[in-house]
Amino acid sequence: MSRAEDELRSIARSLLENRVVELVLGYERYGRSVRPCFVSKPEEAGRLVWSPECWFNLAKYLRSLRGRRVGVVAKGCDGRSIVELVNENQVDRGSIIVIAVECTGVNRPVKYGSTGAASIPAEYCGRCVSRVSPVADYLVKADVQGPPEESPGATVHASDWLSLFAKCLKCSACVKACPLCYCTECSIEGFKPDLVHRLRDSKELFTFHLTRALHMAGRCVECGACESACPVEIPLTRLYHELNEWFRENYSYVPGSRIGEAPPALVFKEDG
Amino acid sequence: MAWKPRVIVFTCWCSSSGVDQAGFEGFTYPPNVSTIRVPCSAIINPSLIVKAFEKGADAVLVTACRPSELRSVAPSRITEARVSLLRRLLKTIGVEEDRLRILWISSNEGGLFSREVSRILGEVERLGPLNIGGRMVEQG
Amino acid sequence: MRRVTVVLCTCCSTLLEKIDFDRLRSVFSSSPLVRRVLITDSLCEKNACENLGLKDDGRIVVAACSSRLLEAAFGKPSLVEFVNIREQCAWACGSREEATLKAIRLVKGGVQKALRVSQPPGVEGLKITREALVIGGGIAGVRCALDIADAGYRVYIVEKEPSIGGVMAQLDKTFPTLDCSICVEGPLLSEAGRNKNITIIPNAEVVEVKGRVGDFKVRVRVNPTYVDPDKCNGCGECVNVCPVYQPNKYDADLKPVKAIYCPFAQAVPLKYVINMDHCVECGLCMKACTRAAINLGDEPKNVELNVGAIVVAVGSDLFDPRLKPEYHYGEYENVITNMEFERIICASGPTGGVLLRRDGKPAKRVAFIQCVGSRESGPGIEECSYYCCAASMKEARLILEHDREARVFIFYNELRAFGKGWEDLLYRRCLEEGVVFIRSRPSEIRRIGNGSLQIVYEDTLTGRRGELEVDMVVLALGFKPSWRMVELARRLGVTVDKHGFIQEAHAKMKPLETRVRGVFVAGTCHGPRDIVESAVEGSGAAALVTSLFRRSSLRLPEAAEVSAEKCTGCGRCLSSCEYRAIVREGDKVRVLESVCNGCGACLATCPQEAITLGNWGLEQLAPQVSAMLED
Repeated sequence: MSRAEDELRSIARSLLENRVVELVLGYERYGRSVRPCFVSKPEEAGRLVWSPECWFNLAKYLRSLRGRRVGVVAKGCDGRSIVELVNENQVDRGSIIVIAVECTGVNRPVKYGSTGAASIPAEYCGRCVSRVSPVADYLVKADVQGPPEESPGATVHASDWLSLFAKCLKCSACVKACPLCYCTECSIEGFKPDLVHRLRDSKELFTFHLTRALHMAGRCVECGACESACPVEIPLTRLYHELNEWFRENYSYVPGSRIGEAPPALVFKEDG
Repeated sequence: MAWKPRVIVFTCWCSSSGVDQAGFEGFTYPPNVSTIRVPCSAIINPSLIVKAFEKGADAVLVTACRPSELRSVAPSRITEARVSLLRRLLKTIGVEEDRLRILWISSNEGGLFSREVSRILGEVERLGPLNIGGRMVEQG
Repeated sequence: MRRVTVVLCTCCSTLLEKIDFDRLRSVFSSSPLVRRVLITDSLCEKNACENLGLKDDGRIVVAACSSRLLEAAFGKPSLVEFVNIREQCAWACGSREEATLKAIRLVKGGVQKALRVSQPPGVEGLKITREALVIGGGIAGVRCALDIADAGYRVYIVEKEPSIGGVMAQLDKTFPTLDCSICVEGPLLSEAGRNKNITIIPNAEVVEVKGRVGDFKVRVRVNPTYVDPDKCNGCGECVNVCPVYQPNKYDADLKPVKAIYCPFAQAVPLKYVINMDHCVECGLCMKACTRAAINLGDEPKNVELNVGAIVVAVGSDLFDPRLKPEYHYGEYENVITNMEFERIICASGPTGGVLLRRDGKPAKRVAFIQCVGSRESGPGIEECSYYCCAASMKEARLILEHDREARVFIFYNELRAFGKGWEDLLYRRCLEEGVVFIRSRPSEIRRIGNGSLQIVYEDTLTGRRGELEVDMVVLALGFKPSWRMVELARRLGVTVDKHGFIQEAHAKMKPLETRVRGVFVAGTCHGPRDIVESAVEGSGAAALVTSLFRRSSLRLPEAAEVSAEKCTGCGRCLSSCEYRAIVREGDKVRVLESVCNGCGACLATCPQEAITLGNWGLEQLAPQVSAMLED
């Protein structure tokens, strides 16, 4: 047990004891790994853990808990997601207590298990813009400082992408893991069969992934949850990062940095 | 039969008159260049352009009114921004970005449309067939 | 299974040699999606549609020439998909084989689209209330109201002051002809007061506007005047007994009036009003009034108007010269504004038209400083205020008319005499009469003994510094949009430009319309103008209003519509709309029908297409594109 975990548990316990929140969203141990958990009683605060296995983005749950007072454990990227959700009017900043934890990089699960390891350092952590959440009510500092471990992920060449997309199963795990994917009739999950049909059709994977990329462009905070959830390990974060670069270059806009910014929707610029 | 590029041209209402004029002046272009008219270029969803590529287009052109000619400036600007973003996406995934372009054509610029289409067809022929469908199937 | 009718037109048989129509007929007759295939010679002929039995045929694909002319022939144009097989097919293909293959592909696309289109809800035949509201009773508003009334329509003028007339009523003479201002305007005001189609609502302001073009619901608050206008006959007995004096706005606060007063002699309506800020409620006026017109318990009232069009003609304020401390306005009593000057030189003004300084001494040497609050990056506006060079030259001539011995100096930056008659009647005459023009923006005004002033300046043509002694300095003030007008703009939903003036929909194409359909603009609230331009805009706006009223019913261009079930309130569409036609409403967004211009930018921005516009969504276009690429 680490000092950071202790601090985290004590904050959660106190929030629940004093009824500041009804629930605390955090992580708990699950076999050799961790999974999200919802703690509603102060005595259960001991379930909460904090480790590099905590790759999942808990901000995903906030929208469905709208209207309730909740506390949420947030890494830097999770906090950026919260900022985006607030800016897109999906979450009320005043109803959530953000327990920011300083993150030094996470491990993502290995799907094919070829190396024998259960998880490896996530490649996207190397590009993280803010290790601590930009919005925070509490801050738990890291036990060990320092940059994330070097990831053994291979570089992705432009010509690799089509074959990466071809591996896709259209399982939508990426959509389910992403806090910013909340459309009730998601364009790529079959609600628009003329665009993307539910059954797997290899050709359509092109449209599936490009449409998702277009919808994430300028909004994605590169938390990597989609990539880590993907059963065939498509490095989605890398793709969305390229499109975010376009926003950085053309609009000086970085998603998730500041509450109150409007989502740039491929926009009319006042002086453009 | 030698391969000829399949091109989809999205024309806005006004630039469509320009394309009509090109036909009127006797400018011929290969039958694989098909036009779809929409009321305003801003209504073109970028996913629609993606779908065109998936279904076999080797190139997609969007003809629109120059921003300064419009009653208001923005719709063309938005189209410009969307096409620019989509070109970046195509480039990132290894598809030549010049397969997607905007042409500024006003309603009396049939001649300009003719010249531009000839030039672009030449370039696309050099790039070769895109064949997204084929490439996706063979990897998958 | 939805079935589509395919109509092929041979364009008077000219397309027969370019396209194999038999092949087209055979391909589409055998399609399960097509009900029947018709081939005709000229769809553009007058009754072609009826003759072919197509008027109510449901979904139709028309393969013919460029469709604009054909659309009108069909009863339900939204269920008809036009495919161009002439200009963009037959004429553009090298061979009959190529053209036929292309035509097949295009029509296949058309069929896919036609299967998925739907009739939009009726936006035709909206009612139009043929009454107009003009907000503001200055020259622009009055001109506009008179023109609308002359065309036979009812019009309301809502004016915040007790009388209509605006700034023009306060001026002495107008440029360039030096006609007496109120003499020109008075008859217009009287006519407006008498005209049976015009209802003037003075002492009033617009507080709320709802609705759309053709059917606006406007709430007007009428402020209490404490005098019943139906009973007051303008006899003025009350004024004699009133013990309280107050500053007179009409006289630029230079000469006081009683707390109960009539704005000016030519006021319309000619009624007395009480300014309760100064009234002591002594009740003497009540006793003096023979008609029991005075009611000190008067309260504000609301009036609800239902109008079809609104014209905003509320004018603008002038720059506050106290923002230029170097000119010491308010501190040095002989530094005055050009409005104050107009009142002083005017025969009906506080000095009876004698050119006196505030301290009572005659003004023999007068200097004008131009561009006070204009053409600068400071507290004023960047624009030129249009009227002030001409106004100062006019005022210079008036001074010399009153006193041939006077000396007049005009400190200018660029002298603008672009209007009709300005070059001759103003500039040339000024030169002839000995007005001295000095190209300079003076840096300071100093006070020297006995109230006189010294202007410190650098003549930018000679480069020499100088100090000029004068009796009086007149500051030519630039325009400044009034905060009240900006507030009104917000209530109406119209936009203002970067200075705060009301913004037109398009500077060249729609100069008098605003972004809200049915709301027009005229006069100085639109930007710096003179009287002529303001009147011109008033007439222009009136023409637009009457043209609107002449229609039998209104058809709004199709507006985008947001599905409340699908909308998640993410707000991405908000910044895609240049017209600002989408607004947040609770947790969702809504499109303002009267502002939407139907461009569809929002449609393509919404990630789940919760916004629809006609038949232009992915649902219709994606199958069309797919069909065109199938071979």
